[in-house]
Amino acid sequence: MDGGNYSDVLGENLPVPSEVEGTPDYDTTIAGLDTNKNGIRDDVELAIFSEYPNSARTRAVLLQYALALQMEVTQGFLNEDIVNAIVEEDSRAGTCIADTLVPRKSPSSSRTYSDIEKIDAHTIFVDEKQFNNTARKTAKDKFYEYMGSYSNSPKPICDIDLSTLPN
Amino acid sequence: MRHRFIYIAQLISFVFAPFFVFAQTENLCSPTGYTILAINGILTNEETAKKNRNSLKNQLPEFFNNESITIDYLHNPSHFAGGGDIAKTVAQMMNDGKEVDDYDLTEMLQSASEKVKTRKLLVVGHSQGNFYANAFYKMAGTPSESTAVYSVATPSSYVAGGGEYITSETDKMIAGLVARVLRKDILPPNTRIEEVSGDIGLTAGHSFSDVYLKYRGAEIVGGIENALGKLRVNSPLEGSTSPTGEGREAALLQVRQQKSQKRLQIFWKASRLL
Repeated sequence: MDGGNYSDVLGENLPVPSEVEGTPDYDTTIAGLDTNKNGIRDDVELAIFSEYPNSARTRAVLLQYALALQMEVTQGFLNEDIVNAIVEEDSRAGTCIADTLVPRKSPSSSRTYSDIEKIDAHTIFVDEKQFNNTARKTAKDKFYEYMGSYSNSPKPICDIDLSTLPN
Repeated sequence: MRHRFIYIAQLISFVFAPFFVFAQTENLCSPTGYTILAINGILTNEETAKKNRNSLKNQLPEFFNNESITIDYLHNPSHFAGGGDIAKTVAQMMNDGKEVDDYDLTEMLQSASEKVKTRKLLVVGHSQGNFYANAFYKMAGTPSESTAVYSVATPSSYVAGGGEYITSETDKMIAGLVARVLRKDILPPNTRIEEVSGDIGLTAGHSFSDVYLKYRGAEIVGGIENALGKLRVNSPLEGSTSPTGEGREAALLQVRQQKSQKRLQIFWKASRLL
């Protein structure tokens, strides 16, 4: 997904449960299921597609954010450098959401708090899906204990060139 | 013998590593553009500190006076699972106006020296982070014309450089506990944010993003833009905020030396345990 995976955004690799086996239990482990191996938890990916079936751009930015959140709870080892690097990805994804879905009127204009609430509504939607039980919330809390003075990522804010998406 | 040589080599690289970092970054600061460094208070956990910084970044414009704004973050960590923080805060309050000099400040200066790429610099402190914002202004050694502080919910009696501040009279932590019990000569509240339902306890009315930015966002953005508008780039040696008055390089050298001393202390203390 990092660097842009258009097929994920367009739903070509969507981890739809098989009708025969039914919906799996997504909550047996902290990492959950990632059957299409794109780094995003299957149930979170499906929830994003279900909520935004008609906007590939919205899905793209939310999937980027979900990928960063999933990294927060799937590290085998934590230290300040690792955590800062992931928080930078998280913040980059948050900026991608903000600038794509609630852009400023111009680069020199500030946003209102109403704008911030619109941005927050999108991030909270993913946060709640991602950290949907105590074990995952605890893993996230442990992750943030290592956070230090993280920086701005030098990468472009969005993984995918959103202008190329159909809607 | 061979092990002793390795230890000495490690010690030399450990102690002198910061010199190279500073030497690289000092010459890279651009006269155009602005950097805003946010410093959290210790009552804010790391995740909330990230949220605060991101909310500030989202709310502020990308450009001011046709120059880009970079928003970064300096971590003000909690110690001993929060147990040491109260004592540290009280000590900072009692010594307000005097020079803060502790390991966290040294770390912040080090981090800033690696991050800041512009000569125009604004430090935004929240809560106890304002003690560090004020100390940063004095210790960073950057010219006073190009450095400023903006304070939110400050428990301090001043804003370094005469900067603006905002504190709500409904902030239970600052206008309540600090101003009424701990230290009465702090900067008085200068706004009133109506109490938010469900926001209760000692920290009610104190949140950076959920109270101050939410209900006084326009004022905070205006105050920050006002501060940015006053920043000027002059000769690096003019108007230094360095306590020695010898300019930025002298102060940075001082920080380097402090950092090296601290590292040396840690190294020797640790070595006694081996």
